[in-house]
Amino acid sequence: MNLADNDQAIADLWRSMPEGAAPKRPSMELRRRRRRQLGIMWVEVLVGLGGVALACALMLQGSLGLGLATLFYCLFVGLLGLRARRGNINALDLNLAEQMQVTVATLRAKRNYETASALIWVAALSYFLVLTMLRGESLELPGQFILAGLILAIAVQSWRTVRARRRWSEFTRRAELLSEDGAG
Amino acid sequence: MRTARDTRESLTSVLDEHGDMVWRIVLAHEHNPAVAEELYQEVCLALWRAGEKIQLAENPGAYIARIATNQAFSHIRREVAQPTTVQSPLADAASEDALLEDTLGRYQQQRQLLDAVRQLPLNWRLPITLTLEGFKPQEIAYVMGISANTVSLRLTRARRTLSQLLSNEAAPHRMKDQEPSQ
Repeated sequence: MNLADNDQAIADLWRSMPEGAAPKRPSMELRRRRRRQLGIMWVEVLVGLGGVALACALMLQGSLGLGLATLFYCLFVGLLGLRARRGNINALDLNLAEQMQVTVATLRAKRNYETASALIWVAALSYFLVLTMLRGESLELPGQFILAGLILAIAVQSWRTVRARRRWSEFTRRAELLSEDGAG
Repeated sequence: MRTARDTRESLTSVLDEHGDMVWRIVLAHEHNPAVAEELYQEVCLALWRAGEKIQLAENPGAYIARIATNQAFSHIRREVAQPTTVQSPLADAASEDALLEDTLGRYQQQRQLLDAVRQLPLNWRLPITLTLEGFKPQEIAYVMGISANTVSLRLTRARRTLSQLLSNEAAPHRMKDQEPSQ
């Protein structure tokens, strides 16, 4: 089979695949997918509202700094989610190059968010250790659970950070490859 | 006011006309049939969101191809974290359905063509897939957001490589997305 000599034959072979060797085209199933997307959106909204409620509770209890930090964190995550969602909708009006730019920017923001989250957990662990040392007492069982939880959170967040950085890096490389100036 | 039923009927007619094209674009970028089906549904959802924009587009076919390509590329982005190496079941399909020797030969050629297209680097795979769908370089440039000259250059190299792959009649190793040799 020679592509140069049989361009039309190759194209016909390609276009007849659905009736031939290719798997059968599935029927459209949007209802379940839309329901799942709406469910995910509502879960995200509830988690966000829960974070805001926690921030307000902290501020009312007198932890103004911690409450404000929690509030800003929730707002940042919410804005990131809105940006990703708006990007998905606006992507309908974008060509591939434009969509890649938007996606690279979104992945960069996610990378920064994961990195910042990891640093926040490290700061929380440091704060907890300093408080424990200042008390001068040995760590009781509740404190041990908190310490284990903080270490686990740092481990999980570190993995998420590495994954986010890897995705951003790989996608940036692919975006450059597909761009006008990319390897032809 | 456009009802949900109108949108659904409109999307059904769009898929009647262009659904096979969308499916082929999906298959060009995804080996695993189950994941390909998920990707196809994602494209359908994007087409549903596009709604009237498809009818109002200057070139509805190219507009739909652009949406499908964007979704496929986003899928490739996710695939980076979850690489798949599942073998295509085309061989089984061909052996089940091939009653005539010429049908089997055609099935094998289609399988070889699909395998060869999938092996191309991404920057060649996209334009060659769209060319096989009948789009001109200007239309491919509209989809990809690059110049028609760049499309033509990549098509020349893609055709050469695809021809070599098809001539070899085998694709033992998947080519990674890499810069072609200068």
